[in-house]
Amino acid sequence: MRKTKSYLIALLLANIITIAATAQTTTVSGKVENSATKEKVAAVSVTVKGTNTGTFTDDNGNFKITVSKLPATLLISSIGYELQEVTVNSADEKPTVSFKPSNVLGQEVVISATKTSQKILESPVSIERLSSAAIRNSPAATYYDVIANLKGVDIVSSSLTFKTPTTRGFGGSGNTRVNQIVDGMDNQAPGLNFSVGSFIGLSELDVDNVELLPGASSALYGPGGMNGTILINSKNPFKYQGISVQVKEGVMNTGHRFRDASNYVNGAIRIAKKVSDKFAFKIGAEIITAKDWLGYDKRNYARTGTNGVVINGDRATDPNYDGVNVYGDETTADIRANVLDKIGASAAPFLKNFIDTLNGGKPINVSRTGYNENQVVNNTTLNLKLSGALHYKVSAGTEAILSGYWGKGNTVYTGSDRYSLRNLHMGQYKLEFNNKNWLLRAYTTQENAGESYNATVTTRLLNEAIKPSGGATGWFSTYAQTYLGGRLNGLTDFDAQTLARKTSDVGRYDAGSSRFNKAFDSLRAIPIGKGGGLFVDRTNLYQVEGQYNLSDYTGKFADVLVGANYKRYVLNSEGTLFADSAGKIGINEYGAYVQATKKLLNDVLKLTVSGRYDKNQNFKGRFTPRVTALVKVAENNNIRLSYQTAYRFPSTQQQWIRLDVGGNVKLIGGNNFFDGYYGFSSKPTYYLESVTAYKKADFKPESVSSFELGYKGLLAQGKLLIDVYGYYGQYKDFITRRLIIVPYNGSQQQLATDLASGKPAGDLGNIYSIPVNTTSKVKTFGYGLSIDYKLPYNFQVGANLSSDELKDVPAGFKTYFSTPKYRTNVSLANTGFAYKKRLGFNVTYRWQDAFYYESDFINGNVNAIHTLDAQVSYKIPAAKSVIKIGANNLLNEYYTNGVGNAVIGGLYYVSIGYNVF
Amino acid sequence: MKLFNKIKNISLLLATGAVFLTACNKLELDPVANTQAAQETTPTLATLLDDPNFSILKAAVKKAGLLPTLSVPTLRFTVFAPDDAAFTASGISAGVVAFLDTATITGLVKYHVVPQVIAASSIPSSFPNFQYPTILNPKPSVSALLRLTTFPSVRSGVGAWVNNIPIIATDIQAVNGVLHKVARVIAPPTLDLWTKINGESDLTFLQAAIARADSGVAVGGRLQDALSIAANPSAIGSNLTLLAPTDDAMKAFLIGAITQALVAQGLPPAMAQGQATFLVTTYGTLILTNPYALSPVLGAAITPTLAKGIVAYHILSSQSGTFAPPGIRAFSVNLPATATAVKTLLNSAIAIHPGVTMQATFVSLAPGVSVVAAATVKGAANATASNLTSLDLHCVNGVMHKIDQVLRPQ
Repeated sequence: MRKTKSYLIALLLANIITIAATAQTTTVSGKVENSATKEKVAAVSVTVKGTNTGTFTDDNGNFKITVSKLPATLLISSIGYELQEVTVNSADEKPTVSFKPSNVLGQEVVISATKTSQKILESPVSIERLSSAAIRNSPAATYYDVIANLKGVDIVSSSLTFKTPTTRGFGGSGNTRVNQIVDGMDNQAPGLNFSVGSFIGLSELDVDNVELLPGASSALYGPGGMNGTILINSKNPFKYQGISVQVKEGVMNTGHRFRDASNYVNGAIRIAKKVSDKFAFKIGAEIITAKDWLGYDKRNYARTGTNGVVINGDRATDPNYDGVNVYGDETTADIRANVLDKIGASAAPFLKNFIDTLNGGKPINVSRTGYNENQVVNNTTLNLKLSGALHYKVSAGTEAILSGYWGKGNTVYTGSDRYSLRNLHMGQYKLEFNNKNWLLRAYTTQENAGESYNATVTTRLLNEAIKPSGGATGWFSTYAQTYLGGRLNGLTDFDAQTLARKTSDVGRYDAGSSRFNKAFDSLRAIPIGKGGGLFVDRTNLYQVEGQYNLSDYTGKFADVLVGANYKRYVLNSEGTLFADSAGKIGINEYGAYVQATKKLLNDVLKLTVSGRYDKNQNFKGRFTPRVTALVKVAENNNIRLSYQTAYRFPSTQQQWIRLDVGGNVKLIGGNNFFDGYYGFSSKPTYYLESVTAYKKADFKPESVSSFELGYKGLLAQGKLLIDVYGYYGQYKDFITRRLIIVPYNGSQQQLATDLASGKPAGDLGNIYSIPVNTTSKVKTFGYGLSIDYKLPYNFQVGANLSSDELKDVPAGFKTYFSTPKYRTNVSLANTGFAYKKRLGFNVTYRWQDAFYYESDFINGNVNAIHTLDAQVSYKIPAAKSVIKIGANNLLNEYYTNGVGNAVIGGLYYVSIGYNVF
Repeated sequence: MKLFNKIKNISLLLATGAVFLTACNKLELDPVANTQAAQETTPTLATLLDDPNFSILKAAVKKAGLLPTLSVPTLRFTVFAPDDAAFTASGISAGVVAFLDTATITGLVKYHVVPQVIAASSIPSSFPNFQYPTILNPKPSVSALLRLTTFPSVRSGVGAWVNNIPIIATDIQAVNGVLHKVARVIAPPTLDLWTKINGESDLTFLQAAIARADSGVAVGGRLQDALSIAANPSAIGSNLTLLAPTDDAMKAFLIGAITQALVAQGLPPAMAQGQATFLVTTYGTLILTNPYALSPVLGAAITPTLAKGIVAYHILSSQSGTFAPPGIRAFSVNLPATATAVKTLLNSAIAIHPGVTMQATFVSLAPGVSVVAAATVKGAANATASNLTSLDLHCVNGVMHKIDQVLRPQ
């Protein structure tokens, strides 16, 4: 072992220390400009032909490069332009390169598919890529929204700045089945489990590219990634230099339907400087302020813990109304059992018969009066992102990067309830060494929930603070007595209920009044475990990883890549989210992978085999293999075939959460600790939906294996790019949730009888929502198709269609599939037309099918959604600026893409960008 | 290139499809109100009283200020409505209604109104009676929920009643409830049983017997307390049926008991009876309240236990067992038509006691309309049954029937 280590170190050193060049050198300089628009082109790669020497143009299109002899041939290249060769004969020549935009599609290079660079056309698995140019030309207000228009992607928007993408199913706010990796760091908040990419990731100006691997992809990226991996890479300051500024000023909520029209402001700045050939740095900042979209679903929801269904009835016509985005009305009680029967038994025996006839003798369930989302959730979006990086070239081939990303703000997230994330901040700090052949990276994620609170819990507590629910003078007692009195005066049930609510709500605080704010603010500052709504979360993640490309040694046989990582979570919620009231909980995970690639049959067939082993201290180790084959049917036309596997250790929450979700339901993790703590094995325990005995089973990681067949090809002289895929996947040990109940009196028969009579389950025993694995295999399958066509005069049209389905779900299991069967995007764009080709536009239309949405918060139908986004831009080359007028959801057709989540309308903005590349 | 053409066609289709799809999102956010049945506005219970046969009732309702209440289409009531003939038969004319004070009339009217819809088909035939609160609160100062209750009952093939008043026509529908015609005015009870006993001149011995039974018992646990609502106004729901032996019956019983005691002392029967008669006639209720003062023999013969046993045996009960509440308010019409054993409060102490045997004879006034012509009750140790001589003396916490023999449990 020791020997291997020292060998590895020697290898690394050999790469860092390079022999200094001794030859005489000359510096040549020049300039690159767009042949059509005469704009200076930044970040263009300039390399000396036949060497490894290279540089990039700065933000004024200038370059300076050292050559060993003259004349020298320079290769000028950039995505979207035709490769150009320029011969420089003397140092004084200072050529201006007329750089011609390319008419050929599909020239991008991707890295994530195999962790090595290759042309996107030759990727052995499905991959989507967004370049900074695509982001720049997109009508979307943020780059995260551009991801939504990629083939096969669905997004759930919990709020303006909290968006969660997924592919091939399992959409949801805070999705744990998609890895989001920003500059090599897992972007998932380690305690809250959601990826914070759109909130704390890179600012738009600093995004170089986004790569998306749809479907199962943990063979290379580790646990998670069951439904895709999104890799977002920032701009290297050596390549992208200068000061860039972008300001978007917009207006939203113009429908006046849910709130008044409000401003949207998004300002970003990026400063990058190449101080020397060895050292460059960058700093960036972005701030977004807006009035958020509101959760406004006031439909009635029949809830049992984390299950439920939308039903008829409103506050006026259902005494037990529980509005989806209405909070505080989750507190419910049967006033017959709790109050009226007691009145009949002692205080007023002469009314016993009468009470028995009320509501046909059935329970009279009544809920407290709630408050609307805008009254209890902080809907002022604020998002501040700061980032900085120091890049130092230790040697010609090795770059050291020390970087930090920090974000803070207010947003709204949907988990088992709606959470107002307030002053949430999270930082990611990284030290990385990367070389052509190897990579060493260490980073940490530091999470702090700040003043974030659970809107439901806090509002329920507010109701208690205003008037306690229980007790002789409590809300329910007042309600029941008034109701009874009303009935005794001849009121109909409806009128008596109305009167009772009015009477018990006397003294209720008006939303926004000073006493309301005072009470609410004090409750949201008290941790959940101590009778408030605050959740304390300072969970951290530490990771070290390394990768080595052994191809230089193994090249004769195959290209081989190896890597390993170690990960440690430290859960710290002080008992408010996890069962960590006794102290922090650590979770260790490690893994290693190897990949071999070999070209066969005269390079017509390229085979890649990868395998990865991971071990989490709480679960058995897992091996995930991947085999891919790429068949070149013609130049730029490839058929890809893959068998991929992915699996996911249960998230930190699925292991350790302990959270009251109302209705006497506790959401708990699958760790064995809970079994002993709540005594499921020692006390009679039943599944709530079937009232059959609970059987403890081992809680395992879930896994998916997927076959995929695809074709990507460039046709019509490079003007037409087609990508088609079909996949079939099988989920095993799928993680879902079930409700179990430990009845107070232990009797199975009594429980069944009481449940059948309509008594609230929460009155009969303690209910727990536990994560479980499904025993049967769940199948998914789907396909996708995209076409991009380059038309004359810089026009480009694109369309994609994809479909995903889930089959063989056992009854009683909640799948969280939450994905439309079909979705399509159609876009028409132009990057330069009219006056000096300075105008540009982009129109994108998206349609997605209706689907049934399942979450821990709400289950219900999401209707089909149509959105139309558009932008028109005008370039002012002299000022290096672009003015853009854009609209997201141009027609202001409000929609929600997850039940209980924000209702999203049109966002219209004007943006001015300086030096945006 | 066939594939290419195909794909081109699909893409064209997609593009055109997208353009022609009207981009309209269906947003479901608003709750769907539960539908309320459409509300008719006429006839109301108030307009039903426009029937000339209800002129006295209407006048009374008007005087009570209840006409607007009975006009509200969204309220729900059942009105047990005496028509003019019923009022007259009950001795209340239009003139009397005009003459009586408003409070009295209001109480009278309110006792005929139940705040829920009781269709004829849902009048219960079960026994003990199902009690329905009326809208009459006898003491609002005590509790807003206090209500005098009424006891509609039905016996298949015999008739239907409210308390002991026959219902003569049913299910006259209004939008805000239902109206049943009754044969007489249903008088609201005003007194509790204890007060009622104290006010009856021929129940002095019963009163004394209760006092004797309660001697040495703390306040709250006395029989008197069970018969009274003075300490607990909500005890109007205790539902008692008291078979009250008149003074003559009590005297006969006492003479018998004392005679027995004297014979046991060695007196010849004829002399013993003479002396017993003399004692009872001379000392009256004192024999019950303080027999020791008269003679130790009497004191030993008429013990509190005996008194308690006798009184308990005259209160009907629906159940047996310790501290079981009686829970029976049996109007004469609720008595069985064939001789049937009924439990008494004595069953609280002696669960297997056979109780008393009761029987009522009904007389039919019209099809489905009957009243009780005669009724009897027989104690386990009585040679003959006693007659219920005065029926249905209704009190707030129960009903009392006078009887002409003391019931003897053993």
